Parts: sequence; structure tokens; C-alpha cells
Amino acid sequence: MIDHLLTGFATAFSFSNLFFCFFGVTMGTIIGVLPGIGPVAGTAMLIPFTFGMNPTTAIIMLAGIYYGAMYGGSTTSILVNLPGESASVMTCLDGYQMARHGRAGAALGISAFGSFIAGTLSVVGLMLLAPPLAAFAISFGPPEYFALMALGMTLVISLVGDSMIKGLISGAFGIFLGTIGMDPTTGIERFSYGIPTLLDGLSFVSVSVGLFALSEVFEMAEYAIKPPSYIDKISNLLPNKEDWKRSIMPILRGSAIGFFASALPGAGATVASMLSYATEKKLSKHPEKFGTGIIEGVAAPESANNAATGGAMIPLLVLGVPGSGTAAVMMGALLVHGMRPGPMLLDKHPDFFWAVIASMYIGNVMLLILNLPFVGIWARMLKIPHVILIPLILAISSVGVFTVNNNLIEVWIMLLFGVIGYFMNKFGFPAAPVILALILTPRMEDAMQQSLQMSHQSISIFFSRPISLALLSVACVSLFSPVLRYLWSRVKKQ
Amino acid sequence: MKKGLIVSCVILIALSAYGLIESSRLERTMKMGIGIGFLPFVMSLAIGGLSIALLVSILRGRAEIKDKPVFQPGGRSRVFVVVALLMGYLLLIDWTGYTLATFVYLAATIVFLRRERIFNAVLMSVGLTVFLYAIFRLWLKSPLPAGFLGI
Repeated sequence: MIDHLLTGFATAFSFSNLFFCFFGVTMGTIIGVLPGIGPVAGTAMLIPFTFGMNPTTAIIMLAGIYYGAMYGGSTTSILVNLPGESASVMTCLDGYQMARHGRAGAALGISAFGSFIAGTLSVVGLMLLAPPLAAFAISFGPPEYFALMALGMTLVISLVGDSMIKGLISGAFGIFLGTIGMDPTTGIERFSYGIPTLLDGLSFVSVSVGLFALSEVFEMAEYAIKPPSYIDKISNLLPNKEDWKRSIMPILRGSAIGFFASALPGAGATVASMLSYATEKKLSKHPEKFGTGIIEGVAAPESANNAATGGAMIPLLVLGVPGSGTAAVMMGALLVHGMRPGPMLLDKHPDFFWAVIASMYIGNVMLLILNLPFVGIWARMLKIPHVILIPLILAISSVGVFTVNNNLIEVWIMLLFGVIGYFMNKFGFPAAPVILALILTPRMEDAMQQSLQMSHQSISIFFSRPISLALLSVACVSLFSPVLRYLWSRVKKQ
Repeated sequence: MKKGLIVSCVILIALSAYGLIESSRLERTMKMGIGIGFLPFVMSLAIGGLSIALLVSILRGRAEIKDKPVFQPGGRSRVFVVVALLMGYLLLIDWTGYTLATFVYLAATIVFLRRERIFNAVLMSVGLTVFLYAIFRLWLKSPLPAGFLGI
């Protein structure tokens, strides 16, 4: 492992990888700081930038955007009480109160150090857990893969958004979209109506940029928010001894919660930060002080949401099942670059895997340096008026999607999905299951086809193999848990 | 919000009907494994069934609906114009190419969103057009739509 890691560092320390790691974490920080643009939208929007790169550099940059956004999100939560992305919502509760009491520096400092410690620990966890998990998953056949993908989808559907039924509709819609194009087995077209662009299926880049980036920009245009005023008195960024004493355990617990929660498909950084905050409140001797501006309330959620980025890489890289919207976008980018995530990735492309891990260590150090002395610069990003951001993002998205295949029809598809995504947001239909299903459907259909061929058309194959049975059982539980909860509450009432 | 949700359910039911009709023309079963019409058919059925269930729960008042207007005051027209401007940009870029279309689009959007002075909008648009050109054409070496102007 050490040899692999050293090779990974050698690759990650090449000039281009270092440069794009820096570019990724910087863009991530900006995306995290700017309210309205989340990591998933930012990652999707910047995928076209990676087309000239090799897959390793591309994923180093995209991963940098992901964990960079987690760092950046805390800045606006603390200084403006406005979360830059959803995983920083919990940081607002105590972070902003600390800033109001003149302790913005300490809040930003502990947030940066906590993020650094948690981010680094989560990479250690990823490094230790990924190889044995990949060795175990290598024995998976098509039925197990089908069951695993079904589980990933049901978990994301059941945990994302506030309504199960809307999540299911989004998932079914995504699977339906995933069937568009020429069937690879028979060569027969489905719903492509002879349009050459649709023969290979809907472009993942067009759909993801539309659903995530454009829809958020339309929302921005609707609200026409003026740049917020922020607390600009930032001093004493280094936490004192007492701050450290009170924060170290929340940071460690937040790291563990964030890592393990996001290693499961569905529970991303947002759920991890909420869990971590709730845990600290429960463990505290003074739970009533949470929300009034105590440092534990900043250290715990910020550590959890950064640890979640390392945890999210486990299902993505090792199992080939992304657990969140951002991970789904990264998986799409991997597929575009000809890499097939899954247990064979470690075996076939160890250089890629270990270079990404090494880059995450380096990226975390870069972020600590970027976020402590330059925090004032990031805060000033809030002054960029939406009148510049809106057309700029729309132009970057349009030109970026065009450059994927030099095809304007794909840009029109992006626009269509931008409008669909905008209305999905309005009416509470989550977009993450759509993109996850769009990416997984061809692989899932393939695994299903192969399984049925193995069993001569008998679906019993999914239930006669223990791993497949166990995975499908968990999928069923996650899918039907709201119904079971409802029935249980009725029984209790009676 | 309730009316909007009802409309979205109706649209989804229509989509499901379309999916069912189209996928029923495709084979759902084959000698070895499932046919190419299987998954779209099942998913259309699922979308239809779930949308009907959602519609029923909304009409019976069981679904949780946020008590707020769908659009912010004046927001609908702003979004409509932003989408229309983007559509115009896509039509223009095919015809005139990247440089002119991007400049016109940026200037028009800036003027619309902030009622900015024309001179300022032109200045900002030139800057942003050059910035994007530098990123995509010079740095990433990506081909950009040329149009009849060739740039």
C-alpha cells in the first residue's frame, strides 16, 4: 500500500496534476462561497473543461471542486448566515452567532482546521477501506451488480428530498431517460426517432448541466438577490487553547460520522453534517447553548461535511455506484473519460486510484492555506453581482456543453433540462435520482440481461445468491420503510 | 403551489401514457432475457401509477404542500426573459458564430437584469466574451461555433 501511495504522490506531484488540483480546489472554494451554486452544479458545469485532460488529472480536478466547495460553504455560513451549499446549513446556526459576537475569526479558523483534519482522516479511511472492499466486490457477478445498483438507487431515492413518492417519480423518470438511444445488444433504436444525437443516448453532460447548473441560475434570476452585506471584521483566525480543547472531540466524532454516513449511498454531506450536529448536541452537558454561538456547533458539522467527501469516494470508485448527485456527476465524467469505476478499477488502474488519493491529501493542505490567510478574498466574492454571474454561468454552460461533441443540439437538450430542473426544484422533485438513474440504467439493464441469461429467464437468480438477496432485501426495506412506518403508527394508534 | 403540483402530475401522467404507447411497440420479452421495451414500459407504468397516487393525495389534502406562491413577484417574467434570451443566443450562435452572439447575448442579459447603462453593459460584455474566448479557445483549445463570420 505504501508503495502504491508513493507512486500516487509521484503522479500527483507532476506540474499539470498539481496545477489542476489547485484550480479545482480554488474553483470549489468559489462555488462553495457563492450562494445558489452548489458542488453538484459546479462539478457538472466544469466537466467540459476536463476533455483535453487525461482521466487522472480530470478526476483530481473534479474531486478538488467537490471538497473545495465544502470548505468554501462555511465562509458564507459564518459571515452572512447564508449557506453556500446545503451541507453548510448546520454551520450557520452557531457560526453566524459566533461572528455576531466578534468571534468570526475563531469560527472560520476552527472550520478550516476541522475541515483539514476531517478531510485528511477521511482520505486515510478511504485508503484503508477501499482495497479490502474491492477485493470482496471482485467476486460479484451480474446478479450482485444488479442488486447493488438497485440498492444504490433506492437509498438515494429514499434519502434525498422530502417526499418518497416524488423521489420515486424522479428515479423512474431517470430510468426512462436512460433507455433512450440504441440498444447495445440488439442495435434497435428506442425513442431516438432517427435523431443522430440521441442514438448514443441522452448526453449525460447536457442533462446534468441543465438539471443542476441551469436550474439554479434560473432560480437566481427569479429571486434577483442583491449582494448580501457581510461581517467583515475578521481577526484571530487561529483558535486558542480553550477552542481546541472544546473542538477536538467534535472534530474527531464528526470525521467518523461524516465518513461512514457518506460511504453508504444516499446519505451525503448534508445528512452527515446534520447527524454530527445532532450527536454533539446530545452528548453535550449544555445542549441549550447550541445555536447561541458555541465552537462545537461549528467544528462538528464542518468536519462531518468534509469527511463525507472521502467517504463518498468509496461507493463511487470501489463499487461503481455513486451515492450522491456530485458523485453521480463524477462517475459520468469518469465514464466519458473511458474509465469504468468498480472493483476492477484498483486492479486495472492502480496508478489512477492512488494518484487521486494522494491528490486529496495535497488538496486538503492547499485548502487550508487558501482558506486561512485568504478568507477575506473569498468573502469579497459575495460582492459579485448576480447580473454578471447569471449570463456568465449560462454562457460558460452553453459553450462548455457545445465543446463536448461540437453539437448545438446537445446545448438545446441542456436548456430543456434546465427548465425541467427549475420546475422540479419548484415542486420538490429531487434531481439527484434522475442523474443517478440516467447513468446507472444502461449498466443495470445490462446486468439484468446477463443475469437472466445465466438463469435461463428465471428471476430466482436474484434471490438464490446470498449477496444479491441481502442487497435486494435492504433495497426493499429502504423503499418500503415509509409505508411500514405509516402502518406501524396506525397500529400504535389503535 | 397546489395548482402547480396538479399540473405537474397531469404532465407526468401524459408522459407516462406516451411512454406506454411507444414502448408497447417494442418487444418486452425475448428468448434470452428481457426485451428492449421492458424497462421503458415498466417505468412508464411506474411514473403513471405514482403520479396518480400523488394527484389523489393532493386532491384529498393529504400531501404536504408549502403554502407559498410558486413564483416570486416579478420572478416569473425575469426567468421567462432569461430563458428566451438564452434561446436567442443559441439561435444566433449557430448563425453568426461565438464572438458576436456571445457579446450580444451578454450585453442584452446585463441590460435586462440591471437596467445597466448601455456603455457599461457593452464594456462588461466585451470583457466577458474575451475572457470566455481565452478559456475555451486559447487555453482548452476547444472549437467554438464559427457561423458565417468565421469567428
